[in-house]
Amino acid sequence: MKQLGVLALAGFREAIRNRVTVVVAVFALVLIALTTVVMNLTVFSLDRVVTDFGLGVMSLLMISLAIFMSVGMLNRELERRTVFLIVSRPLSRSKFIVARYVGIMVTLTMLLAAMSAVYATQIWFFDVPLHNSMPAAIGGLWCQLLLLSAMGVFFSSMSGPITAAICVVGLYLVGQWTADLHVIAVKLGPVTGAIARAGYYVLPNFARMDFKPQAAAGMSVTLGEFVDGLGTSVGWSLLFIVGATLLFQRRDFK
Amino acid sequence: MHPAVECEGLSKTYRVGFLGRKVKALLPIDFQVNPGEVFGLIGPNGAGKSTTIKVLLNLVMPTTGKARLFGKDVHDPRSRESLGYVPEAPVPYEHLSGLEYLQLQAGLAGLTAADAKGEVTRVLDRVDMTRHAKLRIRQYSKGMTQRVMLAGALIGKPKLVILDEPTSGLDPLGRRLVRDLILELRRDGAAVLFCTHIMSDVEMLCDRVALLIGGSIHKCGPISELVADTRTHEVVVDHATKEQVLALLKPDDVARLEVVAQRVLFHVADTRLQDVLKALLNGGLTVTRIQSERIPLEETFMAALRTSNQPGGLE
Ligand SMILES: Nc1ncnc2c1ncn2[C@@H]1O[C@H](COP(=O)(O)OP(=O)(O)O)[C@@H](O)[C@H]1O
Ligand SMILES: [Mg+2]
Repeated sequence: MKQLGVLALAGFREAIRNRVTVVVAVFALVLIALTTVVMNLTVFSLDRVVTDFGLGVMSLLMISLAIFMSVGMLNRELERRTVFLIVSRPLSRSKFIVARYVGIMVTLTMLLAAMSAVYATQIWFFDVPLHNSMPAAIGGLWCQLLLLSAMGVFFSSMSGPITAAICVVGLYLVGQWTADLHVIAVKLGPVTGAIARAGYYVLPNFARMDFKPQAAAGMSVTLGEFVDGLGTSVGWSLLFIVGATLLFQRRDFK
Repeated sequence: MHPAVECEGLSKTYRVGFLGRKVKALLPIDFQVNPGEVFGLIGPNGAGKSTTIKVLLNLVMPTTGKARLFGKDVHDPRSRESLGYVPEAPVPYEHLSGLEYLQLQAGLAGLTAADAKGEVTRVLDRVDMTRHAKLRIRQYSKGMTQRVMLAGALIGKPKLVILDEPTSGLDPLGRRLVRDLILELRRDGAAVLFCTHIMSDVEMLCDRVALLIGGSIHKCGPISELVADTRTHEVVVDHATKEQVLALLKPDDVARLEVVAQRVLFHVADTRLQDVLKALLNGGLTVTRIQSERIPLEETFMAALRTSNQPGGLE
């Protein structure tokens, strides 16, 4: 437990001092602040723009960052051989992976919290009526980050960063539209329908964690819906992390 | 008591490229390092030194054979409970400060917060880096980085320290520090395993060495033994002619014979010296001087290299 703690702390320190993370974070804050200007110029419904644009920017940036951090992490450590200094301690490789994953999530959670604070300020500033779907959308985004990072760690434990990124992005896009793909595939014929149904149940369904549409439409999110999204995320993440530790167990560090 | 390091039939074949071409980095090797011993793994570049060390640290999976630290298989993390390690040309987390890096190492080594604080202070002081402890590692010079890495390996007073090319690329002061640290560790009863291609370090520090060439151990033993094989003696006989001397001795025993102003000088192998002296004295000649010549390890190394036809890198 202590080892996990110190490793996650070091990972977090590395991440926040890494220029890329900082640049992305600053960029995000600037973009969100920019929405304020945009909103002053639009004549359309202000509430909708605030929720839509703010949440959209936040999720796009956080998702990119989650993928960037998770697919690069193991390979960077292997390439620069920092991993040698860690796993030469009395610590299993599984612990190393979990600690790295926790470190990424701590960093992402802090950034998400900072962005949410800016977002909340905007909402307050423009007197947008509060709605339970707004925090739900942010919570849902966190669930997506949890799963995306786990996927990134999984794929990077067996391949290079670019392949891993392609896999994660591919699965994410498919996972966004599994429901739609399902409908289309069923219409095309029984075989594709069966494949799509299998895919629908076998692939992680990101749409279940995405509450932005409800937030934009001002619809509420029920506790059941949220728990469903959280459960999907946690379940899949566990699976991916366990897979990553198994793959990593006997890999040569060169 | 278990040996600090045990290797049995350890071999490693890397697979490279898309087609999985095989590279035999290590043929089966066996060796042991005992507690309190400084063991040198020497050999030219590409001999398999780093591969051996990586297997011991569970960084690389052996193709065949077993490796144990303190009697525990290297796959078991507990084998590394009392271990310090500095990899070849280490690149640590550059955004951490030296102090934070050492705190991380202390935490990973399982020290309590209070112990960690004392240990970090002690090792920082030992490598003379207290002044720069708060600087980020990316701002360190190569020598400073190596010092902090060494400090990390000393945390928690390990019973085994493994160093991969610890002195290469260091200035004389840095080399001196490494040597002092190794001797200090031995004095405290720790085992040290280090690999190098710098022979002067080996002769100065090691109790035993293994000469690794092309992935197999060419020779292994105490330094004195490795060198004794090739020890020769120069014998000087006064007031004698070449013919007188040769008449008393077997031709195989005499090498590099010279005659200088009524004196005959020649070389005799260590194993034949006593017989040669008896023959000379019984024959009525006067031996005025015997000088032992130790062929330096470097020569042994080069000779081994020549017989194995390996390209060698030697400093
Ligand atoms: N990751 C690797 N993949 C393929 N071959 C390797 C790898 N690492 C080392 N080798 C090969 O194994 C041999 C031994 O390398 P190494 O153990 O690094 O030697 P040394 O440390 O003695 O210089 C060399 O021929 C090297 O090319
Ligand atoms: Mg090497």
